Amino acid sequence: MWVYRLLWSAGLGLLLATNAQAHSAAEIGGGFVSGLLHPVLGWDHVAAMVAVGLWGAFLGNPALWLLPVVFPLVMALGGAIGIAGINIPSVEIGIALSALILGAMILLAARPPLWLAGLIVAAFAVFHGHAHGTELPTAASPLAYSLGFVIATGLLHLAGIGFGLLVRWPLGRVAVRAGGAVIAIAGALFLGSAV
Amino acid sequence: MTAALLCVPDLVQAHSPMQGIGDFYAGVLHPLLVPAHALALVMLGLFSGQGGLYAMRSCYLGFLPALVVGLTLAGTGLDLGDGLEPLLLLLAALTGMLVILQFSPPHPLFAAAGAAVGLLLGLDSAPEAVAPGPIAAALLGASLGAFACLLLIADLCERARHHWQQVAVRVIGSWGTASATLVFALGWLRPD
Repeated sequence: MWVYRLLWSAGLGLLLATNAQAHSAAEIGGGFVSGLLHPVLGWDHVAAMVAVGLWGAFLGNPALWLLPVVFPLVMALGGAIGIAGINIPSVEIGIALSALILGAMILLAARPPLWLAGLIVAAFAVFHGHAHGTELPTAASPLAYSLGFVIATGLLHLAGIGFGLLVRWPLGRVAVRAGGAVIAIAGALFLGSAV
Repeated sequence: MTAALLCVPDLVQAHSPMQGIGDFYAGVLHPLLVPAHALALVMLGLFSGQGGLYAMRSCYLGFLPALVVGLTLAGTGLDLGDGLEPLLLLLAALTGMLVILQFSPPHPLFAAAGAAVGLLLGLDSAPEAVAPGPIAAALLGASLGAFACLLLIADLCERARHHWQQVAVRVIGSWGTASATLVFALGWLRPD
């Protein structure tokens, strides 16, 4: 038993000791932080990511976790398309539409079948992934950058889920739908500036 | 002991980057310094931990000997170039996908996955030192660091009993798969 505890402590110490990576940490940390900030600094990304979590929470299990799992996977495919240099027309319009449509889904309390909800989210994830993917080759540490923006994306989903769990209460349901309305309006504004 | 462990990273950070910490500790930290190694270890840990205790044991049985073989070959100066990291990323993406699907294959597959990750990780951990002593210290440190990391992740994952914890494991699997896929694609698809 003590061996087990010792190994556990050693492993924990290893994780804590990551502070010691001073020199290569500059490259890895720089890539990670710029990846982490990339989705957060773009309001169109933020609105769409939060909407995915919000809609998932609105739809309940299993959409609650399935949509945030589908999104990064398909986003990676979109990113691969961007890396390959394959041009997707009107990426910014697609991103703006994602906020508009997902916000409208929440506002209207739309409850499509799970496969359709997954398909809608996946379709928009391609645009977000393409936008991130085209910036990946210039990152200092591509893997750290991609981990950063995937984690930021997940945390934005989580923020949406956290807010979306208010649907359990009647007043919370109104608040969530109002949140959807705000996202849809923001999406319409993004669309206006993208066109 | 916990307090002592908490003090150690600060002391190390205080005076030096990698040069000051010695070959052994540089080896210990190596799996965490290389993002592809850390990602492959985390995904393997989640995969085996999700499978339960027997799966974890099978994984360790494959991982440890393969890691030792890989590190030994790396210590002898065998250089396989830059082709190992994409393979590690591919394995990370595949194991991450199995984590998302909560797929529990026959136990020999856990051993095979452990062996594959261990071997590639070992081969990709060639130390920079030239003298036999520092090389041995770095390799020993790398083997301990990699195994402790795998053990910690697998153990944490195996303890995930609540539904939300199991969902969190699958979500982390999706993050790892997405990141590994992107960087794997970067290596293969980037137009020159």
